[in-house]
Amino acid sequence: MPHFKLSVQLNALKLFRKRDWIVYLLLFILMGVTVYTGMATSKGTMVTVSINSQVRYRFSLQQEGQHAIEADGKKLMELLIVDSDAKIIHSACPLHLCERGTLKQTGALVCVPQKVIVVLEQNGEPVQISDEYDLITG
Amino acid sequence: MREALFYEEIGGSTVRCNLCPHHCEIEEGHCGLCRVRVNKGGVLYTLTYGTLSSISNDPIEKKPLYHFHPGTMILSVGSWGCNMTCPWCQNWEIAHEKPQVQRVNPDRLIDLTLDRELEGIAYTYNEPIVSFEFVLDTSRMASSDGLYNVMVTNGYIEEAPLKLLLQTIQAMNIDLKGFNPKFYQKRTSGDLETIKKNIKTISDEGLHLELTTLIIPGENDSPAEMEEEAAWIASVNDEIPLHLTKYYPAYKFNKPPTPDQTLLDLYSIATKYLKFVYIGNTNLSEGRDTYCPSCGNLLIKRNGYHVEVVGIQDKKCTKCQTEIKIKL
Amino acid sequence: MHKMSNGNQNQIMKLSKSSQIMILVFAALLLLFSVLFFFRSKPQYCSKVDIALGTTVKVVISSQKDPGLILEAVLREFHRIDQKFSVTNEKSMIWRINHSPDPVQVDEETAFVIERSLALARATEGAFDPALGNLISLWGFDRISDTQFQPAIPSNAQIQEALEKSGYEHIRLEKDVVILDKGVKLDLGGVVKGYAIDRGISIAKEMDPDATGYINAGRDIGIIGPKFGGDYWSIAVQDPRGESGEYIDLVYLKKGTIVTSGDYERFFIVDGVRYHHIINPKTGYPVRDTISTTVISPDAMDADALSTAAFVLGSEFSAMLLPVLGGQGLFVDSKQAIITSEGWSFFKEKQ
Repeated sequence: MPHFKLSVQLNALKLFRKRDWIVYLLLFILMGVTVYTGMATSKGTMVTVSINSQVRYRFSLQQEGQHAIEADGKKLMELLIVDSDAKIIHSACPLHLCERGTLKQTGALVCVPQKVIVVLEQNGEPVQISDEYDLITG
Repeated sequence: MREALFYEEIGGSTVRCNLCPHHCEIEEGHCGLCRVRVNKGGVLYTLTYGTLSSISNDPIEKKPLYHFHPGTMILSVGSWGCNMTCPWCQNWEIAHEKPQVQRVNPDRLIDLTLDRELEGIAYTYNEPIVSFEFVLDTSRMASSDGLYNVMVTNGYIEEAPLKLLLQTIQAMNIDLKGFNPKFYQKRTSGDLETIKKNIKTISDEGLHLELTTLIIPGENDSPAEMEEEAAWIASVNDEIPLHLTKYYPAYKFNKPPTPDQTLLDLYSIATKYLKFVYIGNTNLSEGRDTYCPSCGNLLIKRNGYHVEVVGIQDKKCTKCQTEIKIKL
Repeated sequence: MHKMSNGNQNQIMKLSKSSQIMILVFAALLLLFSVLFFFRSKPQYCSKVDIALGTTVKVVISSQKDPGLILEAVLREFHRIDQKFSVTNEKSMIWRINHSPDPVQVDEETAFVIERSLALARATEGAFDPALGNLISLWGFDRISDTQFQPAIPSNAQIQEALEKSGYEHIRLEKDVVILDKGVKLDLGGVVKGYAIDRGISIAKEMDPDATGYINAGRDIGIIGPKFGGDYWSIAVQDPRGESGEYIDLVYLKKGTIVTSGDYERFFIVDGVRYHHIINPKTGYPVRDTISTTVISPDAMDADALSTAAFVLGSEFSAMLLPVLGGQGLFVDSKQAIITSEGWSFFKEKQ
């Protein structure tokens, strides 16, 4: 009798081993997915575009290309994302002052006549311009 | 204010300027990116016809042009405005601010050139393309008066207007700002392909052409990029002189100046492909004088703006008799 | 055989101990992760950026009551003040006063702003002057953003003429009636931003007395409350000749305001000479000896006027005068020498 039980147990163990692998694999995949979504939602640096003080567009710096920025059916400008940076092009404003410089160079792109502000945000908070000070006057 | 060329109405008193590839759609009362072409009542006007911010006698080497009437002075004029947005602009007071200007019409300018006993006019300082109408009229008149015309430009212009300029301009120095398309887009607001295409067109047309690249640390100073740039220029014509100039902090860019060693390294790379490479804005002795590409004979000696042609006679190298295409 | 299949069935349903433990561990980790993720400390500070008074206005608030509402209210106030005190907007109060041949009856707020401006003008003996509308317009600094603005240096005669029609002494405020004599015109550009900052802070504190944060209007700053409820906000002073972000000094404030005037804010260049928007009320030309002034004061309106006055009065004298008028300052002259009033150093340390 004990001999029979042992072999059953052994067989049972072997079966369990196989199923173990499936379980482990599933768990591993689930782990991976959780960690990935966790990382993706908590570490995004986004370019946010506000029009008239409402955030209307969000882009990641990886979304290279020209993105139309519109309000009330009118195209205000295009946001060009290239080389991990952003700049305004083809703006419908009188002086095109907002088309000079890039986001990382100036910290913020502002088109005063069209009330558009483009900044970098991380986790919904504006990216700190400096770690040496909170604010700068001048 | 004079009516501009190369624009079209696109409805509702908005116009589209077609002078350069930006193709700005300009509403009533607005101007284009260059700031000197303005829409008033559905008509596009140029603000810089005969409005000059600077008029000066300059050595032609300053443009820089080293193979075109070396050692002579040229009347250089500039207005204001520019269709690019380079943050290190070395002429920003007139390209990106608004200087005070004086009115000088084309015929007055030509009289001035003749009075000063100069042989040519250079349209330079800020970007001459945005003063297209003025440059066209003046260069046309000047050519028929036997004067030569030089443009120092970023080359960012559409085909049709370029074709007109090719008939009245004798020499150009084009700023080839870099050789990376993303760099061009991000920093200058221009695009590399258009510049390349225009350089080829101008070279094929037979105009005298020299190229300048301002070397900016961390932006366009990679050896790999210079290899590509020099190789491409050579594929158009390996006798086009290339000027590598040292950058100094200006306008919105505060990085320290280009190290001399960087210039020397890029110079060595460029000379592998091109016959004539020069280094500007420095005291280095490399890349200063002109040597015969065949035998190494000293052709033109330069000390600051003191220039001496010592090795060319009858368009040939005095030592090995190779034809030298430098216009004396 | 029969027994085996029974045994198999049992074993299919049950998993090995190690697997069970693994699943439990995973479940625990998942729970921990969710807790950390969903209950992580929400961003302390909410912020909103808008454009008003010709500049970027950023309001940063931390509040137990609805911070979003406070942000909206503050920015709305900025827009309201912009409309009301604008020099170029034809619907503004200032436009009405400037273009009326007769005395104009004004509301309480306008009377207050004009009254305070006059007091500051008297205190600085005209170094700050709210009646330079004609001069500013002559130089074009009210139109410097126009498409067709062409910088031109006015002639001496034109400047003299504008000077005749300038001066706070020609503004009379009798109760709530404003009378402008000798054709002078109001331009409150030197205090409006400061006033708006003060109003913004009041509104925020009205809505939540415990709110903390700040208002940053074109780099003029008013503090609503200390950082995280008790800490200093560190504020750098822009190097007037440096790249944006480079600084020449660092101060720490838990309350109050700090305003800077610079010759690099609004200017044009002719023949290599910079002409900027801070005009010397005596000569009619832009001030040459100073390139930037920074003033700390409990009220932003004061700080605003004082930083303009200090620009005109020069570093040495301003360093002495400002504490008397309730401000502390840092001044940079045309040789880039930095001088500070005696009490400035108080702000360089965290007390």
